[in-house]
Amino acid sequence: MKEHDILDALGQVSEETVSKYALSKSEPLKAAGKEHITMSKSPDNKKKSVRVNPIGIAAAVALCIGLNAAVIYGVSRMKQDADGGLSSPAAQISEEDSTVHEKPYVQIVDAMPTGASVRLRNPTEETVSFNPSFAVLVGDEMLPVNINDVQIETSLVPLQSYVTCFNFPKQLPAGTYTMVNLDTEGKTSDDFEETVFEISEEFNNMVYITEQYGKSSDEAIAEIESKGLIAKISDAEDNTSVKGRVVYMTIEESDSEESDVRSYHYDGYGYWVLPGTTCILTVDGGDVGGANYRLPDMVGWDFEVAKEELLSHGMYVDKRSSYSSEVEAGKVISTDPEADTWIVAGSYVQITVSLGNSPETVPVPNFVGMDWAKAKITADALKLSVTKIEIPSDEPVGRVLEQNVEPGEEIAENTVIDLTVSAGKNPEQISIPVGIPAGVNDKFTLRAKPDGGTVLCEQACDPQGAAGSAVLTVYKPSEGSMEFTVYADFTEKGVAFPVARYEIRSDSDTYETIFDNTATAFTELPE
Amino acid sequence: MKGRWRTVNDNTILALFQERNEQGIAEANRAYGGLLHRIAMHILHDSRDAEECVNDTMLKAWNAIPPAKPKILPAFLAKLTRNLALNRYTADHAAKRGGSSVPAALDELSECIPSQADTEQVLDRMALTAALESFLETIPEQHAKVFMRRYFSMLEIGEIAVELRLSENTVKSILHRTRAKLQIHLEKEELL
Repeated sequence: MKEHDILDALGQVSEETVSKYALSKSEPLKAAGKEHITMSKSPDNKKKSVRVNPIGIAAAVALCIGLNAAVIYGVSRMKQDADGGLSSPAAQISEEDSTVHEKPYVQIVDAMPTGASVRLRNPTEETVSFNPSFAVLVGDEMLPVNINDVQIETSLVPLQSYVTCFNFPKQLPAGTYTMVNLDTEGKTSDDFEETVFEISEEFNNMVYITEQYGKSSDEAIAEIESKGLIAKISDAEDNTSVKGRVVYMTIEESDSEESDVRSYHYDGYGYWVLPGTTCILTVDGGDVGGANYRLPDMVGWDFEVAKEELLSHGMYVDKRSSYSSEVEAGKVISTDPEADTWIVAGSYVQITVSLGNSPETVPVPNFVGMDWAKAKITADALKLSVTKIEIPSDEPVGRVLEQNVEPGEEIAENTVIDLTVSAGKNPEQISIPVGIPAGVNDKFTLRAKPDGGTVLCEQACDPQGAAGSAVLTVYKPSEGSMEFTVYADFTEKGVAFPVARYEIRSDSDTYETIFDNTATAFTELPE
Repeated sequence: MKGRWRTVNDNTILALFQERNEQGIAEANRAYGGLLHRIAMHILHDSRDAEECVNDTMLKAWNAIPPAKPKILPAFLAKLTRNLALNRYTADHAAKRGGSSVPAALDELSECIPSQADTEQVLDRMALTAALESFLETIPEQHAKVFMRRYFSMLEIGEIAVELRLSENTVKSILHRTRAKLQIHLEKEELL
C-alpha cells in the first residue's frame, strides 16, 4: 500500500461522511434542501442594521446573508512583542511568555469594489474616514463567512475585487455606528446600502485565558476562576500521559441557534472570552478505566451508546455489520470479547451491529423458451426485474433465448436479470459514435451493457494517443426503450469505468444521450 | 450596484441540472464556488489552477447529473473538486512549486503503513474506502473531523485548530493518535 492509496480512498468516501467530518459547519453547506444565498440586482432596502456583540455575531452573519454587508469579529494575529500598530491598549501578557495577546478588533466584510472607501459616523457625529486596509478572501483568522454569501452576480469579475475587509484602526468604544460607503472619488455612493451596527460594552470586556495545557487540573481551575470564568472538567482522555494533567481546553458552546459562530477567539495560545464563559478542561485519565474494566452486556444497545461507553473507558471499537432478524437495525448483536470479560484499557472490542432483516431472496425461474410477455409477468410476480436484449435469431420473435442468471439460483428481490430475446431474422440496428479524447495511449475495450450486465456489443480500441471515436452498433428494441451504459475496460490496468449512457427507442431511428463523460472520464486513468 | 438577496436551494440547483438548464451550473457556482475554490487552493496553492479545477468540477457534475442524484450536493461537489485537484497536483508535479499540503499529508500517512508493506500489492480501493468509513465511525467525532479536515480537505494544522477551536498541539496530538489507531484498524481489516 502507498500513502496515495489512503488519500485516493478518502476521496471515495460517502457524501454523508464528507459532509459530517470534512466540511465546516460555518460554511453554508448544510444538507440538501437547506437554503443558501446568492445576490441579484434590485434597488430596494436602503438601510439595514447590524448589532455587533459577541453573542450577536450569529445575527451579524445571518445579516451578512441578508445584506450586502456584515460586521464580524476581526482578530489580530498574536505578535512576538508589542510593536504598536493595531495593538489594543487592553493587550495582556501571559504568564508563560512575553507574547502579546491582542484583543479582537472589529472588522466589516462588505461587498464593494476595491479602491472605494468608507466613512464611519459614530454617536457623536465625529466622522472617521479611511480606505479599506486590504481586499481579501476571508482569511483564516476571521469568522469563516463564506465568500459566496457576499458574491455579486457577475462571475466575470474576480470575486476578490468585490470582497473587502475593513480593519478598524482602533478599538471602537461601545455605541451605534453607521457605515457609509464612498465611491472611488470619495463621494457618498448610492450603490451600496448604509449599514448600522452596534458595539456593545460586553464586546469590550472580554478577558484572556491561556489554554492551560500541561497544568494540573487544580492549578487550571484556580486560574480560570480568578478571571471570572467557570471551569468544568470533561471526561478523561486516553490514559497515555500523566494523570490529572490538562490535555486541552475548549470553550463551551452556547445551546442557542447562534452556537455555530464564535463568541470567543483563539489566538494560538489561549482564548479571548466573555466574562462568565465556561472553559472545559480535558484532563488526562491516567489509569482511570484501566486494567479492570468489565465489559457490560451490550446486546441490544444502540451502537452509538456502546461506542461512547467503550471510548470513555479507553477502549478501541471495531465495528462489524450483519443482518439479523432478531435484533433491530443499528443495535448491537454481539461483542467480542463477550460480556462480563475483564479487559484492559487500549483493548479492541469488536461490536457487531444489526443491519436489520436480510433482504428477501427468491429462486430464479427458467425463463428460456418463454415468450417475453410471459417472462415479464413471471418476473413481476417474483419481484424480479428483467431487461430485454434483442438479437437476430431464427427462433420466433419474442422468445427468450438466454438468461444471465442460472435457474434455481437464490437472488435478492428486485435484482435485474438480462433476458436475451429473439428479434427475428433482420432486426434494425443503430450506430452510436463514442468520442475518445486525445492522450489515451493504452488499448481498451468499449462495452455496452444494460443494468443486468450482459454485454450488448463491444469494440476494441487502440487510439495510441490520438483523438477519435469508436462506433458501437446495437439492435433496436422492437417495442418500448432500452437504456445501457458504455464502459471503457482497460483490462491490462485492471480498471473499467463508465463513459456514457444512452437510451434507444423502438419508435426512433436515433439515440438519446443520458450522460457523456468521454471528455473527462479518461483523465482519471491511473499511471 | 444595488443588492437584494434571493435564495436558491440544492433541490433547485439539482432540478436545473436534471432539466439540462445551464443556469444550474451558475447557481451551483454561486452557492459553492467559494468552498470548492478553497478546497482546490489547499491542494494546488495556485489561484488560477484552483479556478480551473472548480470549472472542471462543474463540468463533471454537469455530465454526471443525471443520472447521478447527489444526496448532499456540497459534499458531492467537494469530492469532485478534491479528487480533480489531487489528480492535477500529481500530473503537474506541483510539489516543485511548494506550498501544497499534499506532501506533508503523504508524509504523515506513511506512519500508518509499515515499511515491510508490499508496495506492489494491488489493493481493492473500495475495501479500503469501506474500512476508512468504518474507522471514522469508531473514533470520537472530533477526532474524525480533525482527520478528515487534514487528509480529505488538506487543511493546514493551524487552519484546523482555528476552525475546530483547538490548539495546534491538540490537533497534532489527535492526528498522531488517530494515525496509530488507523494502522491498527487497517491491520485488523487485513489491508496492511
